[in-house]
Amino acid sequence: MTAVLVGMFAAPLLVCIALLVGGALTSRLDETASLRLRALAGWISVAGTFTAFVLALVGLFAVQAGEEPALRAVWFEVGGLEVPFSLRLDGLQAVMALVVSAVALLVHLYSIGYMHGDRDATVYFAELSLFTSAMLLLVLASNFFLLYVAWELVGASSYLLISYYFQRPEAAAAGKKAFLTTRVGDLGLLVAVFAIVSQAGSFDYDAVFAWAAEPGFAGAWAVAVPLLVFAGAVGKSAQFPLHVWLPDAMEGPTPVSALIHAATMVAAGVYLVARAYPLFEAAPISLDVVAYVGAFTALMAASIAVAQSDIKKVLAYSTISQLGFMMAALGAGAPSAGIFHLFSHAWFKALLFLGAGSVIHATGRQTVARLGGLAKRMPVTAWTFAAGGLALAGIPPFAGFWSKEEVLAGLAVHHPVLLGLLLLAGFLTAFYIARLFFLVFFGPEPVDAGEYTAEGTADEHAAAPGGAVAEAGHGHDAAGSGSRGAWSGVKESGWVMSLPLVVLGVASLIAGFVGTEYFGRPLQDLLNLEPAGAAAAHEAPVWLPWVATLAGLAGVGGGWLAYGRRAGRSGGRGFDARLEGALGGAYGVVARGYLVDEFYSRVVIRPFAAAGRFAWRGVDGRVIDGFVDGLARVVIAAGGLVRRLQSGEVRDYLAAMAVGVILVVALALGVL
Amino acid sequence: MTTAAVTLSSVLFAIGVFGVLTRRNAISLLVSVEIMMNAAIINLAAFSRLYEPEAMTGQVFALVGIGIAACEAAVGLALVLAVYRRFGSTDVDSIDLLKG
Amino acid sequence: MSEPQNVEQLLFIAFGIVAAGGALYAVVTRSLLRSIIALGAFLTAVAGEFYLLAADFLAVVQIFVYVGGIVVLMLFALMLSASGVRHPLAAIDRPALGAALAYSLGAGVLWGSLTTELPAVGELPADAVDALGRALLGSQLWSFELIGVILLASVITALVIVRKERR
Repeated sequence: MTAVLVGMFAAPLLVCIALLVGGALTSRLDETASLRLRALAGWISVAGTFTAFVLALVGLFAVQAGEEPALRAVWFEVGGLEVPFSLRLDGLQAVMALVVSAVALLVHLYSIGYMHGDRDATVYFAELSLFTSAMLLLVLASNFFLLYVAWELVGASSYLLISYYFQRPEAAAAGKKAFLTTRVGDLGLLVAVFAIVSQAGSFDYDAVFAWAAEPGFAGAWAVAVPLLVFAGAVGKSAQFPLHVWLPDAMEGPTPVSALIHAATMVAAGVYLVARAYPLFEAAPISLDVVAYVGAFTALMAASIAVAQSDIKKVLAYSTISQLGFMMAALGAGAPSAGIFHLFSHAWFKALLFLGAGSVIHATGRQTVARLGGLAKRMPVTAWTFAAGGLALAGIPPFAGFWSKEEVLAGLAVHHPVLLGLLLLAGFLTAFYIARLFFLVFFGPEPVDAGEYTAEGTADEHAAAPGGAVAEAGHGHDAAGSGSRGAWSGVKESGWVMSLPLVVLGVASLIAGFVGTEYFGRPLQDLLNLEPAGAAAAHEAPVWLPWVATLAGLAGVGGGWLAYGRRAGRSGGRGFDARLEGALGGAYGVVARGYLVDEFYSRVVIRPFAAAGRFAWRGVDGRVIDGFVDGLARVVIAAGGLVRRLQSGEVRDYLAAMAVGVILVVALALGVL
Repeated sequence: MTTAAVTLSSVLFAIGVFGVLTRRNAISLLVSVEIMMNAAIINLAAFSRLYEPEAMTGQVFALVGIGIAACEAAVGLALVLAVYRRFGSTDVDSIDLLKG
Repeated sequence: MSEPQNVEQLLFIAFGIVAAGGALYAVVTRSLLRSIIALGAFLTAVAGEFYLLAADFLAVVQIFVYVGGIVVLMLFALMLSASGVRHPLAAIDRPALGAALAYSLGAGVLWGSLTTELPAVGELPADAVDALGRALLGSQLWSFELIGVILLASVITALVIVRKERR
């Protein structure tokens, strides 16, 4: 069993190392070997992830059978504090491992097609494998120290992958922004870990939870620790107010967005809260904070998504919103509902992203205004996207319906106001995803559809300098100048990309059944997260599923009405224009994310930059450089004085000698 | 007479030093140096009579001193001529290429 | 008995005055030629002093080497370097500093010499030249030979320095 545990995170890690070493060795020395490695890199990493997936399955079955696989070793000791390297699998962690490895596997496979011809593909797959390994390590860890280490590793690989097209300044900036913003949250988590080890005396989950369960557990630390942990989750899971990095992170390749910023990494925050639930339970006010933040974020992000014109940005805000749903459920005392939603969200959100990637890969565009009428040419993409969209909108029998219903049920008892917010968010969710679907796949084809980059032209990718412009060909709207009026040449993506779409499409349909009450809630039983005595709280109002479905249908219907029905020249885009006209300036504010970024820029970044400039010019420049320069100047001046002795005049030297002799004589005489 | 000799020696030495420090012509410099050397040699000769006069050590060293003075004058003047050839002047003050 | 001593002392003082006067003139005069001639006079007076100090051989050597050799050498140098009578460089510069240093040095040496206890004049050998010869080739042989070597070295040096530079 230890082999299972270790192998799960080690396999992708070894792949990463192998690819890096191989890439480094071949890139300068052997051109043909380098190219061959590039072609194989994807399949090698698929092999690694497949191994991890199989091991995750094995682990899941073992846990279901009642086993408790665990591994514990002492990593190092510092001043009497023992830092362990310990892994384990229980219900929650086994489910997470399965989700992570399964989605990772599909994304790795998909990437082979998507990144075909990219010059730095070897590095890409190495980084992707690194991420997979780090994420698996995160969910396998059974002590807070290792969790934090993996947490940071995940953040680092996210940074690497977001700025994959680093030659684009926007991509480099986005990577920085993601890293720095999550850093703010990570700081909270770090302080929490320090507090935990200093108060509880150990890093191990079990020991810490036992400490939290003690009757005397109260006071400032009891509230501060879960809140600090939640701060880390806020950063990683892009909740308000640290959500600003996720839309920018769409600069990364779309498979990266699918894996990291939809299904797995951002879910780490949700996992963290669920894993550390005993800490939160001991301080009920922390749970309230979680619930309010989650619900607020859900509604805010959903409203922004309605006004976005870039496919990936819509999906990014959608992710933020859905994570808010999960957080709300966790905060309301229904952690299994939150994890259940995480489970089903991973499938359909990854599907939606990969579908978007398929569109971008085939057409070279990602702005809604320049797309349309793709359903005929890319049926697989279109209909799997529809499945994902229906799941997101919460329409039965798709997965999203079941998990969202559980979330809403969890809120119903104690937080009716938040329930209302989430229902409204659900309506908006359905609306924006329907909007997206109709605008991209239906309606008239855009006038200048002549210019695009087809998936098959590998040389286009290879020829692009440094691979950076490849993504420029991969969206960011490659400039079009022809006007053929039809998507001539655009076709469905190859099997390597379409297969994951189909698999995820099926998953979006059936994944919900593992958590619904009609099948006895096997998922929740496995998770075993519910606080004692909470089983009774699952008596949700009977009308809830109907209202939720109604909200979803209303959203979809509204979307169809606004965007799908018009077959005229303007297509669905006319509605956006009318909406903008009706709301005026408010529309712009919403579309720009309620100006949160602008706020940060003014209130946080500018003072920091000013302080940095002061430290640079004022302190380093004037004080330190001044001191060093001053020293040099003193030395030079002293030298200048001494130099006057070297007059080059013989008689001056003679005079000096005479003086010397006088001194010697005086010494000899005893005068001196 | 010894005191007279010593007094004379000091006075001549002082005159020599004054000349060395004051004159600008290179040859005058050498003249002054010769004056100084002679002052010292007078001292040597005078002291020869005081300590073991049979050994004549002072006089021997006076002879050596005169020999050395001759060498020094020869080499010095050779240098003066070489410098004169190079710089076109025997002004000591104008030879300041080593000025720092 | 004191008469020869008195005469000697008088002569010593006389020669001393000539020497000091000559040296002073040599150091002060603007004319380089006169300076060298004054040097010659000075050297001759010093030779007289040597004689009075029972160093006859030394006196003769002084005349031969100094007056007959070095003064002539300097005259030649004077001629070859055109530092003639009317040369503006034959002048005195910074007399104050020179006087101060010279005075202090001289005074210091003089004071040191006069305050030291000096023994009385010893028994002089009968034949000074004979004793000198014996010393040179006997107990002071090293110095004698060394001075020969130094003379050779300086001759070669002077020749090399003065050689015309070959391209």
